[in-house]
Amino acid sequence: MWGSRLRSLILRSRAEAELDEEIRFHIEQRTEELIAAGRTPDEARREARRVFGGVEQIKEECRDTWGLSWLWSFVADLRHGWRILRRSPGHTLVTVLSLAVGIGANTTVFSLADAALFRPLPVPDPGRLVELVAKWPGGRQTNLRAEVFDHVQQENRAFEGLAASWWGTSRLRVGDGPSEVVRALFVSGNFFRMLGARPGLGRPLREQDDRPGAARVVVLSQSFWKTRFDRRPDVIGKTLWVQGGPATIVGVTSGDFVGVDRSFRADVLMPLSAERAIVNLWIVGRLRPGVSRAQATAAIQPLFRRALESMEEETRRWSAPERERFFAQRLELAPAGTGTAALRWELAQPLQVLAAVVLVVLLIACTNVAALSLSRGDRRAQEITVRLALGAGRGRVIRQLLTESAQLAFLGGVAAVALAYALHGIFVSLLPLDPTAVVDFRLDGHVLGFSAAVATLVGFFTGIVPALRLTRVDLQPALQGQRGALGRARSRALQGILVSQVAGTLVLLATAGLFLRSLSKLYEVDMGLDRTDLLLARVAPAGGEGMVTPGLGERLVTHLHAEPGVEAVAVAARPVFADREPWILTTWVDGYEYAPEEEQYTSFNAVGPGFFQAVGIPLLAGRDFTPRDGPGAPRVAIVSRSFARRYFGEQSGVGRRFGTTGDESRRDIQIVGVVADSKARSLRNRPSPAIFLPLRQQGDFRSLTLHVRTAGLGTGRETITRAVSRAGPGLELTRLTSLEEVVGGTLRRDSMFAGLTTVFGAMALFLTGVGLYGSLAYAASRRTHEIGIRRALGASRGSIARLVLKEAAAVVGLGVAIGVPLALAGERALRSLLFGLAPVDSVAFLGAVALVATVGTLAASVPARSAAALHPMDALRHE
Amino acid sequence: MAEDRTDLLQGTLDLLVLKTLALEPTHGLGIARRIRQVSRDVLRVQEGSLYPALHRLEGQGWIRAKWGLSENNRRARFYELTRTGRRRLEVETKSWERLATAIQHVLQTT
Repeated sequence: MWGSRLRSLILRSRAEAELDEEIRFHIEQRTEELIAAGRTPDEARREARRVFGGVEQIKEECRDTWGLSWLWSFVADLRHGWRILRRSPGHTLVTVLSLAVGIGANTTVFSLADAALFRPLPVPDPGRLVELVAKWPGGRQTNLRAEVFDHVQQENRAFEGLAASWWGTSRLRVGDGPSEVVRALFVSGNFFRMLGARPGLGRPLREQDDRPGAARVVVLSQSFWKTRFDRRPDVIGKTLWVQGGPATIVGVTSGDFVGVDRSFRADVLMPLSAERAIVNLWIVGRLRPGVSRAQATAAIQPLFRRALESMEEETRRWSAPERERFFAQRLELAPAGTGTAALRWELAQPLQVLAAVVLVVLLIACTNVAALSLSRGDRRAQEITVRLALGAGRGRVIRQLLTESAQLAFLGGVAAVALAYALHGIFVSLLPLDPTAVVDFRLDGHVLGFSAAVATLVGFFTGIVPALRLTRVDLQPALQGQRGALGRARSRALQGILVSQVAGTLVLLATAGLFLRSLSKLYEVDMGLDRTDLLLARVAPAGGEGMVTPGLGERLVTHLHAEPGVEAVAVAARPVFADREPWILTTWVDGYEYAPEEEQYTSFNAVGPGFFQAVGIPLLAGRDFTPRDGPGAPRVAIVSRSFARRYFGEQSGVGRRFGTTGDESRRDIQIVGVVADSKARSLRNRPSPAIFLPLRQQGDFRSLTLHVRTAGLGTGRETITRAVSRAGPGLELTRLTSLEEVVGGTLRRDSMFAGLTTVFGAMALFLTGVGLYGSLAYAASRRTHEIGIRRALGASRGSIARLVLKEAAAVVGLGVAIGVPLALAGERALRSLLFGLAPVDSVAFLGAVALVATVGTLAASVPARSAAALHPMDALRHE
Repeated sequence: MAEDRTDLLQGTLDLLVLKTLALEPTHGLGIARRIRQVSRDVLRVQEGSLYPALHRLEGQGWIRAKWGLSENNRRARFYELTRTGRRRLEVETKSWERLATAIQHVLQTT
């Protein structure tokens, strides 16, 4: 229907011309006939016109039949609607606000998904980009071994090109300035050419840059160039020190360059050959025009297989299942025109949760709008009844009411886009994304189209129900002002809506409470060590080449000991807590018989003297390591309490021996101490048994981690940075975090859920408060007459206020009664995501009930007060 | 001058147009001419008032319009009956006949 109207509007000018021609033909032809019959030309023309009738009037009548009149009645509807909306600004404001929150929340989630997942990469013809994904039964990944790239990069029948990239951190220094850690993207020489990405300044990296012996060059990212070099164009050709040597700046990326991975933004781009320690690569290719993904997969599969076979020798050291899995891998091609598959996988679940939650918020907003228009129904009913009685068709009146709700939805939609702009950043920070991820808000056709579509749907559905109800009235009683019967059915529907709103809000709030409580329990959990003011500093050879000796680590410990503010310091091969696979040893413990299928693995770390004291793990029995536990000395170990309990029962285990991987018969490591259990990987799991070996007896490592307890984290960081740079140019600080940050990192998902449900719980609470206030105020104004009579008969102000409050209490009470069991069911469903809470967490539930009750009381108090303040005579004179 | 001519009964214009077009497709002027000839000048249509009716019937899908050439080679808008229009004509004809018979019946008995 809309289509044909639109078409008639577009075709209007053509139709107009045709009508002109048709009528002109008629009159001229008629004139000729009359001339042929013997009239003079002038006479004939006049007569032809006379017989025809009023040309303009007839044209107008024709136009009416084209269905253009709808346009004028639509304009009239808009004007009328606007008058109605202006007549009750409070209602309009509240409705628009509700819609803005509901539509805005959905627009935000959409704009987020659009930015992260749907927006094409800013390169020519992104549809032909594909990413290589290795799949095996039960798993998939896009980190592919560098050997795979070596084999597949020559493919040129299906692909125009295949390029690889990998990111890491690097140290960068300009002139004699201080060095800083930057994010580097290492790319194969053809990366820019394959993507078709043009530089913003200078030139991109080329194939020649990625050859052994090529001059060292670097391309800066636009953002790094802006912040670090103030957009100076003369940086091209300058030399800076990066990735362990001097490099010439040859270019700056364009402003919209994101590579293929939006999930992080690099500061500098360098050829792959600049980083020798690369094991894995991401591989992206551009298909030749007309080549399908299936064809390309078939073309590249044999090369992938050959790559796996080339690593055969390496796999011999692996366990049978690992080998099996490795050779079961198959290559697949994922579309990469909108970014990498890894980001899509990562965001799928959070975005689904988000979408579900914002849908609930939208439903609450819609019920709010429906409740408000129902509660206004009585006022409108009379106006509408009059119009129906005067002969307006029901369809015409429904159309008028729908136009009104469409106007509200339009205003709500505009406000929603503004709200989405404001919320976008908050939502991004709640998602498990890198802080540099390129997921900026963009007010483009996608986002506008989405919010327009939601606003249209909402406008229609919130408009159609009241419109149908209001126009289905029996004219007689309504005209005579008998509104009682009518009002009662409607107020029951209204109460139902309000009750369900309260219930829904309670569920969201209780869920938010559960997540918040769970998060705080996680933060309070006893890790078995002291996590306050502990800094973790990883040091490695500059440039990523070579090893660090334990001696060097211990020298750093000695340096740091002497620094003011350092309370304790020790070195270890890996951090005391890290969200990474543990290192494991296979053990044979003297005097212990393993059952045939029993696990022989134990996680381990190599630590220096004073480690346990520095991180706050209590020594329960025996002694700590000393500097004498070196290469020549007898091999010793300290084990955790649960290790001792597993193998020695109630005995302490000090003095017992065990052997490790390699030689089963040699059980030459003596346990000299037992320490308390501590959590090493996750706050959720119970500590697993652990072995600690003296660092000096384990040889060199690729990196070491200093554990430094300081008086303050800020000054501690400076102290450590200074001490490491003084240790010599061969060593660099590759990571400096506090233990709290590392622990917080493992709680990202928990923080995300807590944050999201809190934001949406707050929105729902706001909407419900607004809805309650609006409906109670209208209910009270409807009862003005009744209140007047009560007052005249001697009712006190307090009893009038109680009348309104009682109505609110009934709605809130019923809503809570329905919401609590629902929230309990929700808690059971979320059990696996929660931590450390009793089966029914009374704090979360009571908190949610208290919040709803408080908002309910606030919402009711204003109408209650104004009802109580009514003067009896004014109230009786009402209407 | 007009006393012996009958004004067109409302609603019958549609019937006349459909009937005329059932014989052959023609333009607006042709329809007016035809009605005048066939009714032997008794029915006189205000010629312009044909057009809103034609456009309405077109909108209802009973007739459709095509540009063609008139008898003296001028561009003219020709109307022809559609299939639904033909069915409509049958219905309208039947109800008109019923009405006419009824009126005749009334006139004869009184």
